[in-house]
Amino acid sequence: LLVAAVAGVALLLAGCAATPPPQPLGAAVDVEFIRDGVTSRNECMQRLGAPSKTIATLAGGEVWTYWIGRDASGLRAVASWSTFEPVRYSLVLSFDAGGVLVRHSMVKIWER
Amino acid sequence: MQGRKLRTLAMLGVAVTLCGCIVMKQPGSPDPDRRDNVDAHADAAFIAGVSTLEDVLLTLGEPFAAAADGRWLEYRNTHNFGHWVVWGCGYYTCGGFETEDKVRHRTLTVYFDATGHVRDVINDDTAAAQAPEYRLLDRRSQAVLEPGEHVVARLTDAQRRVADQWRPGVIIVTERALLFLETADTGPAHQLALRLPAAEIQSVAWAEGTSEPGEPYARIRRVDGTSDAFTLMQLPGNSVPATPGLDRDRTQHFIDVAGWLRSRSSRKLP
Repeated sequence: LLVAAVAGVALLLAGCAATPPPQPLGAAVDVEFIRDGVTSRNECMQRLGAPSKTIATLAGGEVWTYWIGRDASGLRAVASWSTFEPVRYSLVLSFDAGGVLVRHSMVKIWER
Repeated sequence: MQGRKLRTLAMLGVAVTLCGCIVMKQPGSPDPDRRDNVDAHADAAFIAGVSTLEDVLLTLGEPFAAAADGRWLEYRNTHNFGHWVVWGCGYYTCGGFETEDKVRHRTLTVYFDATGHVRDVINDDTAAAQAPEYRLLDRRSQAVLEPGEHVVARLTDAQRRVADQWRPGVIIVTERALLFLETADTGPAHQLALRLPAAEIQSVAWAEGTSEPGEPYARIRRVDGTSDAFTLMQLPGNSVPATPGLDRDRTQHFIDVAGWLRSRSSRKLP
């Protein structure tokens, strides 16, 4: 009888989940290698992968952006739609026409 | 004193009404567009004519949308604060209700000139139903209207002939006048170049080209004998590579609208 009662309660509560379960974050991200005036576009592509967005500048350069999440284990790549990481950043990399990093910033988008 | 008593009574009434009820705040669903760095003061860091596209991106991060030609960046902040659930039981029945989700929107659009410098910023607490180009145009239009004047038609990708040159811009037709806002590559995006009151319009009709050989245009003759020339170009999304330039249908629409404006003036004449 107890098992049936517990099963009944479990069945009743099965439809009550208000939010989907947290999704795992992406691969660990290392941004320590990024240096203005030194780091190249190719190196960023190799170590960070393809950017989330690429915006051309009038000077012939490009600005690349990546979504980065941070949890207890450190920085991790996240999809743009993910909202489960405790802190989210937008990593912005501005390259000149020659493909060398000119300026960069890690913009905090929100913190849960 | 009276206000404090009323407030106390109101709170007492609410407390009695909710006695025996469970009131819970439900969190909102995850907001993919939530970004706390886009708030009412987010535009304060940018200076027109000084700040660049890179400055904006490095300050605010990845935008929600960006113009293909680099003329604007759009940031959105949508925050769902959730809703309230009230649930209670009496002697014979149980029941409850829940409120609507409370969602706050903010849209920050930064516009750039042909040199990549900030030319304008619109930062408001709306969900931005319109395309960024039209939001800027609407704001500029509102600034040049007279009190009580309303926009009847808005024709983008227009040209007006000035001193043997076709100047690009936007035609705004109100119930009182025809306005031409010139589009500039630098500085403010739209500058008021012409305000032609309805009473000054003598006629509106097609005319054959004086600039481009064989290219027709819309001519407005004024009552003082002078005239203005306009053409409507094909919209970027609708252009057919084989037939660039003049859009006859749009130019005809302009002639119709300008004719309507003239007829309004005619009706008022004694």
